[in-house]
Amino acid sequence: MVIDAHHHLWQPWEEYMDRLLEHSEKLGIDRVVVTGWPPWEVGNDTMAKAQAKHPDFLLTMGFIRLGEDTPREVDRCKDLGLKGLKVILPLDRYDADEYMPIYARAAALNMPILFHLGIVARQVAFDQALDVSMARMRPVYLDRIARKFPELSILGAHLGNPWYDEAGELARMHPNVYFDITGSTFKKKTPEYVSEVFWWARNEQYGMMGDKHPYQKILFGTDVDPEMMEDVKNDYQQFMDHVGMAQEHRDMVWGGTAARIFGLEE
Amino acid sequence: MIIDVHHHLPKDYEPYIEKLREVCARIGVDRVVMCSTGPPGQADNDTLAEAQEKHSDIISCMGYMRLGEDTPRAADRIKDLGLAGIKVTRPLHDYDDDSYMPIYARAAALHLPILFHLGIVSRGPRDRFMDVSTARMRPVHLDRIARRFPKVNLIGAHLGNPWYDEAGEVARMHPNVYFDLTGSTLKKKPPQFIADILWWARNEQYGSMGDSHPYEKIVFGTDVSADLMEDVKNDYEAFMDHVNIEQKYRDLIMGGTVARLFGIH
Repeated sequence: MVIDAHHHLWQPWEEYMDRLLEHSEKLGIDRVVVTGWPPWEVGNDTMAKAQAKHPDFLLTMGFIRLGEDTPREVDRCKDLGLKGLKVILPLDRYDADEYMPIYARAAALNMPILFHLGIVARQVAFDQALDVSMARMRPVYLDRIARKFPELSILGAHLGNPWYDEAGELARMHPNVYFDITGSTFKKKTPEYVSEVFWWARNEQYGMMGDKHPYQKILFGTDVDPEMMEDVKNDYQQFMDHVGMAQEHRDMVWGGTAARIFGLEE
Repeated sequence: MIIDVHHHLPKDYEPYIEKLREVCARIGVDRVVMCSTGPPGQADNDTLAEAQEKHSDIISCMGYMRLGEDTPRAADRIKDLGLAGIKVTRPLHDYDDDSYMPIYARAAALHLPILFHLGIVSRGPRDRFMDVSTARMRPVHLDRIARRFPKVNLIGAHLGNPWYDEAGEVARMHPNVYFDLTGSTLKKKPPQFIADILWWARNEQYGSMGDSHPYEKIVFGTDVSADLMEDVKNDYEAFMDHVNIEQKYRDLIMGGTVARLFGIH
């Protein structure tokens, strides 16, 4: 099974779905994890409609604004039938005390959380109003969350660009932390660089620390428009070829691991 | 003299020290500075003191305390027990939090060096209860402490993995900050990478900033069980060979600097 674990659902969403379905079919992508963020992207209620319309294709993530929303919005996302949560642009660091009740709620409801990490697009229209800072979205802030909620699946986006070493060590240490390599990383860094972030794949002593092989911690995702998905898929393919990844681990990266995180039958 | 400055003492220490003695004799380590992350897994401070007294010819022990729970009196008690320094890890706030300053002040007054765990820390079954976060253990958090307490010697563990550049700059700036290269660093990074972190060794203009040569800021430690010590020692030697360190600095790395910090003769 191939799962794109990082995709945005834009408005108007029905038209967007037509394009997404067409390109996914062409590329052999079976399911797509979609996130949304109003007003340009869909909100949680619209997301529920999309989930209901495409139950065997979409894995929808509810949007939670950390610092504004309460744990009740997590409950509401669950009630809406959404499969997980997406967070970005928090008002404090991801590991701030005040967000712990939200993560506790997600863990209790078995909802994986996708965290945007690292550099984030500038949006003149609302950066000031939303008080945006990428400094609050470091990979290392997932460390406290991963330890406090070991039953919560944590998906870190973009391999933490530019804090790759932090992301690598977090992946090494925590069985419940995963990363996608979407964004500019595969354009800016060589496959060899990325393989060095997952260095313990090559080391016997540390190779199994955190109880999973490093390549079980990487998720395929695209985070681009449907027309660009093939390009990102090729970048992943090139990385796998460069490191000579075993077929077993390729299958996990393409979708096996995401299927397990979201409780899908293979 | 060769001194391992980073080694953990298990609760049931007698059989372990027996093995440690064998290994040290075989690979030429003269003394081991032991520490603990505390019960239930490792020795408590009373046990550390007892072990040090019984085996004073080969070990020195540092007491442990939990920043965010213990008060400066814990430092007093560590001193009264005759322990050689303080080990800290898994604090409840950043290492440079205001609330910890009285503890560091007490350590400075009592001439107790402090070994700080830095960077990624192993995951354990008590992490949830202990509220552990790697984010609070950055090398740069030693900066404030090193400046406020110039008389306290700070040893940062693991060269701050993965925040190596921070560790390098903190080492460069502060005569009272030292780093060991234990943990996975010498497995993950080539010797040249480490040499680049200690870059000012090759630069005349910046070469003696902070009044110590960079290779006076690196200390030998193992942080593994006795049977793996030789492997870590070999990694240190491979690094020293690669950067072609002169004998004077090799001696300092392998034990001379630690002997000075702990008053070991």
